[in-house]
Amino acid sequence: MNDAASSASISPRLEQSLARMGNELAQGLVPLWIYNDGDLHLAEQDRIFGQQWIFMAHETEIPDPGDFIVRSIVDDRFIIVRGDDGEVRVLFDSCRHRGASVCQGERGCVKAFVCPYHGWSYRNTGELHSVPNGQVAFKTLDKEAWGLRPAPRVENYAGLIFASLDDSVAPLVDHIGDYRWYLDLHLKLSPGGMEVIGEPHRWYLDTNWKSGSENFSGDSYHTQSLHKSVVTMGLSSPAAAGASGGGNDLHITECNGHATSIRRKDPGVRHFWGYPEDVSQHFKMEGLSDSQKDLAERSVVHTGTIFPNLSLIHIGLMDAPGKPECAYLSLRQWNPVSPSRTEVRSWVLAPKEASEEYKAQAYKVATATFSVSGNFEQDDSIAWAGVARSAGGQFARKQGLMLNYQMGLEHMSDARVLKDWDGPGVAYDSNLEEGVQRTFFNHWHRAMTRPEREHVA
Amino acid sequence: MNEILARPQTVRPYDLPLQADIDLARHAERFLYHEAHLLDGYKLLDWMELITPDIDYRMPIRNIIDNMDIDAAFSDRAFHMVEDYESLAARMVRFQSGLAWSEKPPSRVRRHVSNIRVDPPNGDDLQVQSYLLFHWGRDEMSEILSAERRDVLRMIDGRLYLARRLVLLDHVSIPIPNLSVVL
Ligand code: FES
Ligand SMILES: [Fe+2]
Repeated sequence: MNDAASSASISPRLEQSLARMGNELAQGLVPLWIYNDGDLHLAEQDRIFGQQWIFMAHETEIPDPGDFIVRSIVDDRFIIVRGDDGEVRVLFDSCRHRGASVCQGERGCVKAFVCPYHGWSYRNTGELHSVPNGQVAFKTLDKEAWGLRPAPRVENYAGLIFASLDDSVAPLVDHIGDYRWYLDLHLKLSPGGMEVIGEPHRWYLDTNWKSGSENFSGDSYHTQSLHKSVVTMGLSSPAAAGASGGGNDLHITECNGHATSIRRKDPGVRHFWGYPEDVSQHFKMEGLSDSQKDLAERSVVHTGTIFPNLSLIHIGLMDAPGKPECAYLSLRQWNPVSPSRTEVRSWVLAPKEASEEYKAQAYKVATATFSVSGNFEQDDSIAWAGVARSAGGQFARKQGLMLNYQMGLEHMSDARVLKDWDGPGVAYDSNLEEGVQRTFFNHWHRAMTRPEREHVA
Repeated sequence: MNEILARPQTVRPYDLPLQADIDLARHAERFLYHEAHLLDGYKLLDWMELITPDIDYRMPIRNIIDNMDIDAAFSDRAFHMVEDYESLAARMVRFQSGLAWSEKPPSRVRRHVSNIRVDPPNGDDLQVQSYLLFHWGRDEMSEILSAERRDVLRMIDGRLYLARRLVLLDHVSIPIPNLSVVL
């Protein structure tokens, strides 16, 4: 991005509003307008989606050489491809000759990408392979310099492939940081790890991407209201999605800017999110500490968000009352399309060692609960659409409307910091607190107010 | 390629269906109109009486792939809905519970069914294909979904029941925020 575009995307009004937000956040206040604002959307593209680590794919989606899928980061379309050399690359889908897209379709397995315009072709490693009439018309073309442009940084953590458009970003492990302690519980249960089942669910929400990210940071408070129907009907145990405030609940805040909400069984109860014994027998949990193992064993549900827009839910639910609980992991990404529209991508995962029958049932239950048709998620879309609607008009701005994120601040709730918690982050002994969501906004605010970087012209 | 571009010497006949097949097709058509009427009118439990206990209902995820075999675009592992009798019943009961926020107020839905084709019958099962234009509205939003449906209608004691449905959407990413419906 050039300097003109960069400064144009952040108006003085926006800079001032962002500057004020530090104080407001400290009081648990978040201005409503940030959930639907055109200038802010552009600024987020630059300062968040252009600079942070963004989840692109799970490595089990492209197991073989030549396998590719196409995914975008906001408006930028990338090919995520495993080359013949086995390496995964994230390549900008734009021919270096005139810029046309070189990728036909959104998934497949190819040796080369051929540009339809003038026929330049690129190997599945991104290198420029052939140029029609090159011998006479591009005699001194340096092919090495004209390959598909890769995302500056691509790193993999336990099968999760992330890219960053900023080559000076800190390593991915530093970005995830101490949150690994919690993430590993989900990804490193069995020796084979987690496997993506099928293609991700995709749908559009009429909402701002931050609604998904902040909710999955740990909005334990909404289930008893918005999702009352699923508990009433017996599609979820009260333990998984009933009223918050149980004695075994935890909120983990300020863990490298990431957060998670956890519901547990009593000490000593082996539950593992509801995985049946023939799946959990594979949970060797190699490399996990005793505290992590204890937490995994007692786990009922975890939700969490890795800043900025990758969320997870690990839970056991039913697709019909009376059926046995079936556990699964869902990874979901909130990709901004506009200030008030978001494309959700949601992957269902199960332990690799689980039987095909189990995986099919876990997929079915995941679809019936967390997807565009999910009995839970259908209702989230309603609440979040209202947030974006009320944020988009003049009233929120002219009135300076603030949203209340104060639950769990001193004197507001009984939630207390657990001094003897073994894991990282600041742990609360209750999920009746909103520090998990303040964590998201604190990190967001830091990212949005970082000193301007030098941009390549 | 060249042969197909040349004018044929003779016309290839289109076989006219037998009268008995036309009658069956009429029954299938009436069945589809009737179920659309029930669903559009939120007579969801009445609709449940039209399906067999072993119903298999699927809405596969569609991919954008470079392949002229159009069916290859539909996933055999991933679905926006993959349902049996119990899970469909659970959805219907939830929608009618008064607790499902996605149906408070009920979505403004209308199913336009067309292009109905019925294969010659095979025992008690009728293979019926239809096109569906589905209007969905909520608040200020109004959207259209488009799909083909491949159904198996089963004749039991002189009445038709829905035994299988495959909903083949024309959408890759669902353009509406929730699918709190059956198509
Ligand atoms: S734009 Fe790709 S070959 Fe010309
Ligand atoms: Fe929710």
